[in-house]
Order: sequence, then C-alpha cells, then structure tokens
Amino acid sequence: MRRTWKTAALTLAGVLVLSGCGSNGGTNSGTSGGDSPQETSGSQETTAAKQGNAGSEKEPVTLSLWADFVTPERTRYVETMVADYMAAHPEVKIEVTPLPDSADDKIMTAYEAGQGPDIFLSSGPDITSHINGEYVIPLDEYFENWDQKELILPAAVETVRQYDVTGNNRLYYIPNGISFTVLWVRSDWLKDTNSSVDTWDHLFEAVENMTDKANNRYGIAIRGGKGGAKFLERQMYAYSGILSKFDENGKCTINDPKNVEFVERYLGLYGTCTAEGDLNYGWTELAAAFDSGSAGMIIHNLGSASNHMDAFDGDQSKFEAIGMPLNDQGTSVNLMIQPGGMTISSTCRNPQAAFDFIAYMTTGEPVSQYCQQWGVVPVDQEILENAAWIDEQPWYEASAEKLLDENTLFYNQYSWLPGHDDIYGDMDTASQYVMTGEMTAQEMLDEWADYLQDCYDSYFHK
Amino acid sequence: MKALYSKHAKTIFPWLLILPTLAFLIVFCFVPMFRGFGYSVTNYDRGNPKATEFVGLANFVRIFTEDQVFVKALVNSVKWVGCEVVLQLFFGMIFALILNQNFKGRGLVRTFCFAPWAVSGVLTTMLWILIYNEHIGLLNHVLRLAGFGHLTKAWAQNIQTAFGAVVVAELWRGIPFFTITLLGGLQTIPLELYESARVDGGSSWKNFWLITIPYMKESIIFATLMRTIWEFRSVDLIMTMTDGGPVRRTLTLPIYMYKTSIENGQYGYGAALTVILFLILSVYVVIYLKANHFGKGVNE
Amino acid sequence: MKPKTKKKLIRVLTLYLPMTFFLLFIGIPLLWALSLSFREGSSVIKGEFQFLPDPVTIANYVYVWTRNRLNRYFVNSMITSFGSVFVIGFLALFNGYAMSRFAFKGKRIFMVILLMTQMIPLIFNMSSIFLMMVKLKLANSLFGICLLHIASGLPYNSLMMKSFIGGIPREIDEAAAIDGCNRAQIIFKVILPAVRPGFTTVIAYAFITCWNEYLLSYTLLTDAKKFPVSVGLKYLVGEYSTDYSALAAGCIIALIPPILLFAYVQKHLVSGMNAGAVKG
Repeated sequence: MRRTWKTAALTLAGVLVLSGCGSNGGTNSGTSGGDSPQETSGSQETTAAKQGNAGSEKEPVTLSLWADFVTPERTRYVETMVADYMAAHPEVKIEVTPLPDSADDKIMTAYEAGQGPDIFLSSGPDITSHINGEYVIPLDEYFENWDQKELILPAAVETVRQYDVTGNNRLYYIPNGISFTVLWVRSDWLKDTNSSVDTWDHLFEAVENMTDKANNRYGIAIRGGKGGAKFLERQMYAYSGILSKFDENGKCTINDPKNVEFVERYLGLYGTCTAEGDLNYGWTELAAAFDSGSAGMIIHNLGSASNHMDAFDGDQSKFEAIGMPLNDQGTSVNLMIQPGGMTISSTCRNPQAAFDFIAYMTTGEPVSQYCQQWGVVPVDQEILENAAWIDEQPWYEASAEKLLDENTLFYNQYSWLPGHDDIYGDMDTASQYVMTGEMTAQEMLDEWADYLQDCYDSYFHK
Repeated sequence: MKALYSKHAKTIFPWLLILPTLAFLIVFCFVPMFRGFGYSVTNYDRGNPKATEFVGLANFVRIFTEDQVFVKALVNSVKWVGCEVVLQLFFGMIFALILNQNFKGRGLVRTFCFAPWAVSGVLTTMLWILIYNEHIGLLNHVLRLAGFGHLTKAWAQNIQTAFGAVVVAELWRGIPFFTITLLGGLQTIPLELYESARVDGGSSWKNFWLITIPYMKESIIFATLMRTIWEFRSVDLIMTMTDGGPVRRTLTLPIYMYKTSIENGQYGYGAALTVILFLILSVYVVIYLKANHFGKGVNE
Repeated sequence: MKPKTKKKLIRVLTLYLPMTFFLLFIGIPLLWALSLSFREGSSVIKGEFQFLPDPVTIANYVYVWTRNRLNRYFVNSMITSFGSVFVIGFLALFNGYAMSRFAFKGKRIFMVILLMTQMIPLIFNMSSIFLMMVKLKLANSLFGICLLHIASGLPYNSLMMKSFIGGIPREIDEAAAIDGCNRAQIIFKVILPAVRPGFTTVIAYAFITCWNEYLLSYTLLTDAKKFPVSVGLKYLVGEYSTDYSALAAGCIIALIPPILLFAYVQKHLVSGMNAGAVKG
C-alpha cells in the first residue's frame, strides 16, 4: 500500500512543480506521471549485457569521472560501481577522481581552463554557473533515446529542467536522488512536555515548553551562521504559505508581512529558547547541539540521518524527521525537490558513452546504493517502491506520507535566477544583526527583496 | 681581499645567483598574480563568465565610496594582525629565552613545543572548534568541573569572545613559529658577551636590553615582518571557525575577499579588493624595511 | 633566605613556572587530539566527555591508514616534499649568500619582490595558476606541484638563509679566497659547511610547508592517485559529518615525519650555530 503512495506522492510533487514554474520560459514536455513501468524489473542486467556485447567492437573509450563530498565509504562505492561497469564494458575505461569537500571551486577552476572531467557526479551541482559558462551540455537528446527513461521520476526531471537558466527548459543533468528539507526533532522531549509540532503555532509553543535552561536544554537550535539564510527562507515560506518568490506581477514576495512576522517570531526565539552560540552556528555546531542532546529541534535535510543514528545509538524513539508544519491556511509548504545528479561536460569527446554510464549509475542497484550512501531518496521509481532499506528508515516513509497529503504544497524558489544564491551570505549576517537587535526583520527582508527584485528585473527586461 | 665583496664592484655574480629564483618567481608567482589583478577592471562573474565587460576603475570607486563592509574588514584585519604579531612576538620571545636555558629534557620539550606549527591546518581548526564548542567543548567542560559553570560560553560564537577565541587559536600555532625563529637568533649571541657583562656586574634585565635585543634585532625584524604578511593574508582558520561572524566581528579583509570572489563568484570585485590588499602590504613592507634598515648594508 | 633557596626560587619563577604555562597551552590541545584519536568515533558526536579514551581503540589508525589509503598519499607527499626541499635549500643558499655578502644594485628590490609573492592568499590566484600549468603541460603532475612548492617556499627560506649566512664571519670566506678558492668553491666548501645548521633548519621549514600544503595539490591534481596526505585527510570531513577521531588519528600520523625531522634539526640548532658564532 505505502509503496504505491511513494510514487503517487512524488508524482503529485511533480505536478505541483510544473504548475509553479510558469514564468520560466514555459513548460514544453508533458510528463507521463504515475504509470510506473513494472515490466522493466530485472531488465537492467540484460541491457548492460547487450551493451557490453555491442561494445566489444567499438573503439576504446576513456572517461574521467569526478565525484564531490566523498568519504572513504563513498569512494569505495563509486569505485566498485565503476569496476563492475568496466567489467561489463571492456571497451570503456573510467578514471575516477573522488573529491573531498565541496568541489565547487576546484571544478570551476578546471572548467575555466577547459580541463573539467567528462562526467561530474555532484550532490547538488552549481548548475546555473556551469550552464552559463557553457561548461556542460544538454542531455535531452540522449535522454529521449534512452530506453529506461520512464524509470526516472518525472517530477525530478522537471525540476532539473527548471535550472536551465537560458530559458530553454533543457535537461542538463540526470537526477539520481532527492533531498528533503526536514525538521529533526526530539520525539521523546515532545512527549515529555506534551507538545506537538503539527502547526507553526504549536511548534513555537513546543520550543518554549522544551526549553529548560537550567538543565542546558534548549527547545531549538537556530542556524545563525553559514547556510542559515537558506533554511530561514524555506521556513518562512512554509509559515506564510506563499507559493512563489515572485507574484504574478513579478514582485518579490520575500518581504511579505507574513514572512516578516515569521522572521520576527523565529529569530526572536534567540536567547530565550536557544543557547547563545546559535548566533553564529554553522552546520557543525548545529549538529553538535542536536546530537549532544542540548537542542530539541533543528532544521536540515535527510542527509544527516546517519549522524543522528550514531549519536542516539539508533534509538528511533528519541528523534524523528518531520516535514514543514501546517500554516494558517492549513497547508504544509516545502521547497521544491532538489535532486543531485551527473553532468556531462562540453569537453567530453564521447558523450554517448558518458551517457550510457550515467544511465547505468542512475538506475537499479547502483542508484539504490548511492542513495543509501548519500542519504537521499532515489528517483528510480522501481527502487523507490521496492528497496528494503527505505522501509527500515522511517524518515523516508514519513517524507513520503507528508508528500501524499493533499495539504502539502511547494513554493517556487526561482533558484535558477542569475545571482539568486549570491545574497545568502549577506543574509546570514543580516539575520545575526536581527538576532542582536541591530536590525529589524523588516529591514532585513526588504534588503533581500530589493536584491532579488534587481536580479529578476535585469533577467526579464534586458 | 677587498675585491671579494667590494661594495662598489659591478659584479654580475650575485645576479647569477638569484637568477633561477627570479625566474621561478616570475613564472609561478607574478604571472598568475598579475593576471589575477587584471580581473579588477572587469565585472567578471564566475557564475556568468559570458557577460564579462571592462568597467575601468568602477570596482575601486565602489570600494572606497559605497562599501562599508570593506572599511569594517580592514579595521578588523589591522586589529587581527596587531594582536597576533604583538602577542606572538611577546610570548615567542619569553619561550625562546626559556628554551635557551639548560634543563633536563630540553630537546624533547623543544620538539614538543614546535608541534603545533607542523600540525595540519585541518586538525588545528577542528581541535579549536571542539575546544570552544558550547555544548561538547573541552573548555566549558573543564570550567564546569572546576565549579565555574557560570562562566561557560559559546566562545567562538559569542559577540564579546569570538574575536579573542580565534586570536588564541591562531596564537597556538603562531607562537611556536616565533619561538623557533627567535631561538635561532639567540644562538648567534656569543656567550663571552654575557660573561663579560657578568664581570661588570650587569643585571639580567640590563643584559637582555643591552646584549640580547641588539643581537637579535635582525631575527626579530625578520620574523615580525613575515608574520605580519602571513597573518594579514590568513584565511583558513577564521573561515572554518567563525566564517567572519558573529555580526562581522571576525570578518577580516581576506575573509571578505573570499566571500566575494569564491562564494559569490564576483571575481572582478574580489580582484579589486585583492589589489588593494597587495598595495597596502607593499607600502607597509617598503616603509618597514626602510625604517629598520633591514638588509641595507652587507653583514653589519 | 639562604642563597641556594633563593636561587632555586628564581629558577622556578623564571624557568619552570612559565614553562609549565607554555607546555599546558601547547600541550592540552595536542594531548586531547591524541586522546580523541584512540576513542570511538560516535562518542565524540554524542558529546560524551572522556579525558582518557574508554574503551581504547586503535581502529581509527587502521581505518585511516588502509581504508582511507593514507599509505598511498604518504608516498605522494614524500615525493613532492623531498623533490622540492633540496631545490629550495640550494637556491635559498645562493640567494642568501648573494644578499648577505654583496651590495648589488637592486638588492632591496629583490627582497621586496620576494616578500610580494607572499602577500596574496593563494586561493585568489588559483584559476590563473591552473591555466598556466595547463599551458605548460604541468597540470596533474607531481613534478608541476614540486615546481610550485619551490616557488612558494623560496622567498621565506631565502630571507632566512640570508640571516643565517649573515651570522658567519666574512673572514673565513676571505681566507678561503686567499687560499685560491673560486666563488663556487667558497659557496660549497666554505659557506655550506659553516651554515649547515641553518641549512638544515631551512630544509625542515620547507619540508613542513610542502608537507602540509593543500590548495595547490587539491586544485591542480586531477588524478586521485596522486593526492598528498593533506588532501587525503580531507576525506574524513564529510558532507554532513566529520569523523573527528579518524581525523585526529590521520593528523597524528601525518605529524610524524615533520616531528622526526625537527627532533633531528633542533640538535643542530643548538650546537652548530653557537659554534659558528663563537669561532668568529
């Protein structure tokens, strides 16, 4: 029962995504949502074998593959997959370069010098810059000719199309997994204080109830430092229920009174229901606050699940992941799904061979293992429905259930807008000024709105 | 044998000696550096390289007329460098004097004291993050154990303590550098000078000012100069520990440049900031060398 | 107060007391890193507090050495570090000799040039450096990394060498010249032996800088098999979680070569230099 929910839910998400992105050059491709191709199960091997046979007469091909945010475990995964692939395709040689940390700077430097990898596996590529620089190629043609394209969740594909900053709605990477923004909460604390977080008002109450300063317990940890503004934005749209960053007249909605109200309330928790360090928490400190049992709630994504599992010895009665609480209008507004994936660079001499490898990595067992390693939800619908590991980790189920709910909506972020992301750093700082009372929430959001409005205007009326 | 090192000899020999170095530096340092400076008169945006245009001195005009963060960052940088260099020199000097004395296990202590400088940067920042952390940090834990629970703080996030916290973390790896450099200088002082001073009945304090300091002048000047430059340009520790926050308390000029160029992709504007940093330091170096007559004479 | 007790008291006040303070400041973070490296990784995330690891485990060391392939990165680091330091050492010797013995025109400018290379954080020149290395066909090669290490290590070490050579009395060169040594012979047969402690120090300094260098190697090398230890350690800092214990273990392993080198060098730092100075 629930298995079909998952697909249905994510298809729904796709529909909502489509309805939200009208201003970005229009949508050209109709998604054939919902019809999950059951008969393709088990066809993965045969396809691979077929390609292998055909390939033995082909010219030898060498491909370079970079992957970012890699740990020793992830390296082992990538190398194992590549070795399997090369065994089945003797004519293809793939050189793997696992990269620690965010490879943003390294890959840009390499692209600028024309030395980028043929394939880049990224947990969230800085795709608009790569498209603007013409460092990556559109994959529509390859995708259309791919016999297993129906396996990929249409919603994920549509989201990727929106990142095409040129307005042509082309597909620049093949998504492999989706990350969800969630609130990690201490279920046991909620229970002890008889609180709930189903609506924003309840959430604010819960935060107060859970705070016990004498025992070094704080209801929430706010990410005031690096990366904080990104999450603050998601939360304020969830609170206000506004579904697009720009209204029908092209006016930025980020300084809407409801958003301002949220920022006032949320950042107002600083000092009363939070520890003092929240002012400049980055992810490391935020995680430490939650995992050490000092904070009752943090906002992040599903990717940190294994952290919390380690920290609480796998005791799932202590913590859970929940989607955005309901707002005044009774809806739960989330950010559009943001898939990671693989790109092919414009310097690649064998894009077809590169695409074949990407196809292999994006479906079946490889993508299933990938998603476990990276903590994301697979976009291969067959895996999504059948993988056992998803059932063992309740936050995936919870996310799916949340998505199924008819009150769950998505807001259009316009993240592809040139310059869109460059304001986040300043807004991290601005939020600190709000917390210390040197700036008002209104001033902060006005500044943000002015900036985005400029980006919007210069993009649409140039 | 005056001919060997005559001051007026028009010998090309020293030039031959420094030529390979010059070649290395021009190819691998100056060419990339000046190429980078070239971006400062453009609006080069990494996220949108196709739209690059020549903008003249617009970036510089903006820095000096509109950019308030720049002023703040510059002030913080001066504060940062001042604190670091003065404190490192002060403690480095004390510890060099200590380690220059005779005691058991001196070699071991010296090796141990030198370790922080050789520790990989990623460990240094990780250690200090874990030390300062509000909830799981060593410092707060020790304070609680010692009964000073009311003093616990989020050391690296608190507005009052954040700057001091990063200064101390940087001191940890900076003092050993000074200690070792100055220790080398101490070794060059002929022991007879102290012997004769003792005969004359000079106090240790007097000896320090009359013998030690003059002899170590060159070491001190050199170490201070290098350290000033290195601290002025330092990025990694502050970046990882505080990211320039809270409320820009630890935002130094290089951190601001990093945020502008690398994080926001505004390479043109970032390059203009780089040029300014370069000019500030160059002027400083020239004045400093002149004022101290450093390297002017030959082997005074 | 007896003179002997007074003397002892002074020694405690001027030597042992400040030294204890110093050792605590330097030592606590180091010892804590050591303690971390023998702990179980998850205990750190939980915020459990352990002065001494409980239970003690060497799993972190095994993990970083084998699973994280520090063994392989170690070899690369050795190649680039040793490949660079000797060139740095000898070129620094030449520069130091030229700067401390000759009053040539442009010496001041040369010194300013040396210092200018140190002023800009490397990260802002990375694109230009990468582009140039591609043109020179030196990107993704350990040799190219060596050349860059040499260029970045030369300025500081040359200036340091200048002050070391400056400490050697000129009479010994002049005596050698009278004995019929030419200039090359003076450098190698007179200056080098006399400045050996300084030379060793320069080698040690250069080695440490090369050993810990991260950005150049990370950006220029595109083949992970060529990465040095400094890059290898970064694999332990994950996207959302840092393996603190493993990172501590890895960094302690990485600390061994510089420490051994310094333990050797610091002996020279004492005897050699003083001997040289006393001779004059």
